[in-house]
Amino acid sequence: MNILRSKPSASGLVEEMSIRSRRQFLSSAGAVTLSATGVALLSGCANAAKHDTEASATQQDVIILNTAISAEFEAVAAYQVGAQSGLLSSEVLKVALQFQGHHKEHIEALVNAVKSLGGTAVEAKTDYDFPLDQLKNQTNVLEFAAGLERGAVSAYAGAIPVFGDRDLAAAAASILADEAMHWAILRNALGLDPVPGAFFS
Amino acid sequence: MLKAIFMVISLLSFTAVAQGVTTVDIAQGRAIYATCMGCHSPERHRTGPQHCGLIGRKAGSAVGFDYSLAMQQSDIIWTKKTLDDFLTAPLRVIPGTKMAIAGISNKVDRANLISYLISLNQDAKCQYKEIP
Repeated sequence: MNILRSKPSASGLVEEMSIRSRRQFLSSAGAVTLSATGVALLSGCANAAKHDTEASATQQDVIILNTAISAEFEAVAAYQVGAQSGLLSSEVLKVALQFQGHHKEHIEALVNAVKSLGGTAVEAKTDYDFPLDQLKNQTNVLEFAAGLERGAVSAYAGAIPVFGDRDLAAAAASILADEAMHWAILRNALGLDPVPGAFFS
Repeated sequence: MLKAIFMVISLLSFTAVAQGVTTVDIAQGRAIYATCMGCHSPERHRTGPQHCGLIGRKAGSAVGFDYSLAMQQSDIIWTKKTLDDFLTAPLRVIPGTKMAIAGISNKVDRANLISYLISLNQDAKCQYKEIP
């Protein structure tokens, strides 16, 4: 990776990650094919087991990515509910739409990653069953959004250690940082300490 | 009244000791549950299934949620023990689960979280029937 490149965007990072993952995936897919035919006989069962493990890790990465896509779709839908609620001031609405745009970019990057691994990306639900009766003013909407963003940080923090592909883990960390910034801004808007501690828990 | 309170505290303490935990703290468990809320909610399905009625339910059986095949075929009933195992390392217990996270390594955190999940069954927001 060219670290001298100025201001690498998250989408650029993910794109680069995606290309590398695709190469790795294509490489491991070829290896699996070989192991099924002759490599196991030539190299013993250890190699076959290793290749099976790689394929399993790839499948697991696709599952993790799809879980993240599901959560991102929910976030996009939630911000849409907030934007259309008529409860947000023009300044807050502008920020909400900006954050929604970030989540859409996350989805695009994650879907590309799934495809690069040979998987099928999940689609958005038709209904998210949001607790609309609890959204009566701007504060309610901000609290709702902050809760989702906090949860997203937790979800990415929990998933990053179990990615098989470290490039995917790095890309997920980039998204986590964005979600954490959203959470901090929303907490600040609610009059809460935007950064409540040195560690996230 | 005091006797009844004492009995409840004793029962909780006994349960905790049986799990190798000195105390269980539902409030602390509720705080830990915030980390689950990226995907879960007590009363509604989200990226993960609802948690109302979790204890005693067969894994992968909540009506209206699209579970992984691995979860549906796991043949697990959610109890304190099975939840403790699962939350320690979800992918080890049910390879292929959509709950692809590292797990909760701290046993006290797990015990507190499980206590909160158990308490949900008595929560007003869980006092309804699942709607297909």
